[in-house]
Amino acid sequence: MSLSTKIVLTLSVLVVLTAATSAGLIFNRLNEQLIDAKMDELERETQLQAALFSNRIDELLRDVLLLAGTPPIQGIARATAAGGVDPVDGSSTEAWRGRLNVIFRQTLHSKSAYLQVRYIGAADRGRELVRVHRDRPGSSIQIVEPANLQPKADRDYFRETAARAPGQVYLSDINLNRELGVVEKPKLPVIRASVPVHFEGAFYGMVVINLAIAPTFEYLATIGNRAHVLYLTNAKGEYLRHPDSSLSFAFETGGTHTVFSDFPTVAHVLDGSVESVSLLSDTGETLLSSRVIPFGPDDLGHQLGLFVSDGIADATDVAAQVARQVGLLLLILVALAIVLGIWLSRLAVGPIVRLSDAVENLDQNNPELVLPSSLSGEAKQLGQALADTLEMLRQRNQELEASNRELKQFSYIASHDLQEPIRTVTSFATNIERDYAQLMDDTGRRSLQFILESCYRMQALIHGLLEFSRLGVEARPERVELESLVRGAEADLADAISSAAGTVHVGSLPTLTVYAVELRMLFQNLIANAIKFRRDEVPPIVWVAARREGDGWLITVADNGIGVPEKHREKVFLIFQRLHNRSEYEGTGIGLAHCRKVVDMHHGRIWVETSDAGGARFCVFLKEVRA
Amino acid sequence: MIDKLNEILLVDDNEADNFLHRVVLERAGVAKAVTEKLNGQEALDYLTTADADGHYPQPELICLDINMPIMNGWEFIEAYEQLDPKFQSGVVIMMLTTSLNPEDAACAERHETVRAFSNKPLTSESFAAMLEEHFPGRFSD
Repeated sequence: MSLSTKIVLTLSVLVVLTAATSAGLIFNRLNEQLIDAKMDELERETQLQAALFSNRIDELLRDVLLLAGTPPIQGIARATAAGGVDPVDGSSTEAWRGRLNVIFRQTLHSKSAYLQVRYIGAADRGRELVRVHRDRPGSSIQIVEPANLQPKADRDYFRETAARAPGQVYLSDINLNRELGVVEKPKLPVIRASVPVHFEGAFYGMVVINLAIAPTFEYLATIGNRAHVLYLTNAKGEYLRHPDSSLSFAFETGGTHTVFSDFPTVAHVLDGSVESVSLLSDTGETLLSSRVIPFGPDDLGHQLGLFVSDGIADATDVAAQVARQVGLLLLILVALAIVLGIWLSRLAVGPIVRLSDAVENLDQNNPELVLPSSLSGEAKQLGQALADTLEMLRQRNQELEASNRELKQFSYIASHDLQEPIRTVTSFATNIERDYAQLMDDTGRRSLQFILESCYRMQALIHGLLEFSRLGVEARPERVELESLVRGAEADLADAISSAAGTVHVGSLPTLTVYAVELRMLFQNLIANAIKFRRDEVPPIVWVAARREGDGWLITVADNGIGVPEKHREKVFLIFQRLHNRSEYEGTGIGLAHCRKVVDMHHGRIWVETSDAGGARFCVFLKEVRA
Repeated sequence: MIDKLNEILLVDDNEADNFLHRVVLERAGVAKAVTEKLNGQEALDYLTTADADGHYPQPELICLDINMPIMNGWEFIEAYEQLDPKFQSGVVIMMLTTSLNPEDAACAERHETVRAFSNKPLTSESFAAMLEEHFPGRFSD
């Protein structure tokens, strides 16, 4: 992965991590606050609803007391008791009844949710004395003809009211209106407030107001947030209002749904232990708030259960919006990070790339590093250091080349120039030996012998040196079968081998791209050595073999000769190093130095170890030359 | 009066040099015997081998070549210094070399046994000067 990619990636990851973490934190906190705020809102809402409901009930109770206190109530009683005419003011029963009709009608006029206002007498099985009603909230008001008045003594509210003290109001349960004992359709939930009327110390009758409670419930529902869902129940937890209208008052027709089964976590407000409860539902998706509203006379123990659920969809809406914005912000930040990263990496990597371009485009023959002018800071330092090093290397290389050239020239010229005088000396010494040897004494003759031997040796040395210095000068790599090289070298040495009764075994050898002429010389030297350094009385045997090793070839030339002692195994490859007295083994001390130079040309290695036959094994590790 | 040296040992792989030095030494007539050995190992073997009567050779002067196969001059010196002192007493070792190279000179400094240093080949004059220095009084009147 390139440096610039790393920088961009790192920056992006950092930005994403930071943004995601902070967004997560903000999101969480926001969520909590939103939920808290919603809870507060719900609490306030149910408080308000409770107050409104209580007001409405109180108004109903006040109205029924007010109506019971109007003059016609006692007037009718007096007139009836006196046989048709009120002894107090002379009004007939009909006149009082007419006045009460007016009062009741006006009451219904002013209170559209009042369905019925009645004056029910105790006599005649609780027959209604006066009744003004409407069918539905807000519909037209009718004054019922005396012929159509009904007896009500069998109704619960009649009995309950009759049992109460004068002026003590009774309030019924909230239930569906029944006409002639049958639940009216559509459902018409009502609550009845009634107060007993006493005349001359005895229960005489009662004033009853039927209130349609549905408008009140709907009004409560409109108080709160439209998104909230309002459930109302009686003290037993049975639904008086349910968003699914079929479940409202379902208990009257055998329904079993209650708030205890539907909202067990908040229904306990109806037990009276707490006034209100607000909490987040188990699923975390809705808020629930409940409140119990006691209403009516204390002894009756009426309670309205108020339950509000609020899907926190709007809270999650806000959260989702925040999430969208954070996502967008993240995208922008990542884009920024990438741009910044690319810019930074350009800044950091650009100079390096320019520098490496400059280095790659160096002229091989004259490697002078021209620094790009745009480099600055550390890159410039690096470039300068590189340029300095390169310059130093270039100078070293030039010096080395020069000294190498000189050395080659020196050994070549030296060997050439040395040949001349030594040939002269040899010629004259040969002449002297031929023509004057018999005139000399032993010392003279022996001296002359030494001169000649030295001359031959000198010639051999010079010849070797010349070859050594020429080695590799015009070498060309070519593809050859090594076996043919070895066989060629063997043929050149045929005389030496046969006179020593030697044998050369050649294993299977590869075909390689090598400096063939030089390598043949190497084999010739090694085989010649193997024949030369043989044991007394032991015919020399030479084994040549090769095997693949790593990225090169290991070629071995082993013999059964005298071997090379451990301590001389480095020295033998140095030029003019000899391990033996010339009288024992003839030689110039150039052969193995020659071999090493050939191996160096192939970037290989040469070393010697003890062979299986106790002689020497020369190992040559070679790599193929690129043609 | 000339008090000849018992024996001079020449150690050199170059037989021509040995021959040349023998001629110079014999002309000078300063030694009763001159022995030639072709390398350090041969010389060492020679010095540590007793004759039939149990006598060890006791050359008074060893002329030692530096570059030799098998055991060169310096290796010989190292081995020689490890020998029993009885082999070393009263022996002068003279290093011979074709060209005096600074490393060899430094090496000679380190070995007390090496008493003299001379270029090859020895001439009558350089040999006489050496004798005068290391064997004072024995060859002068």
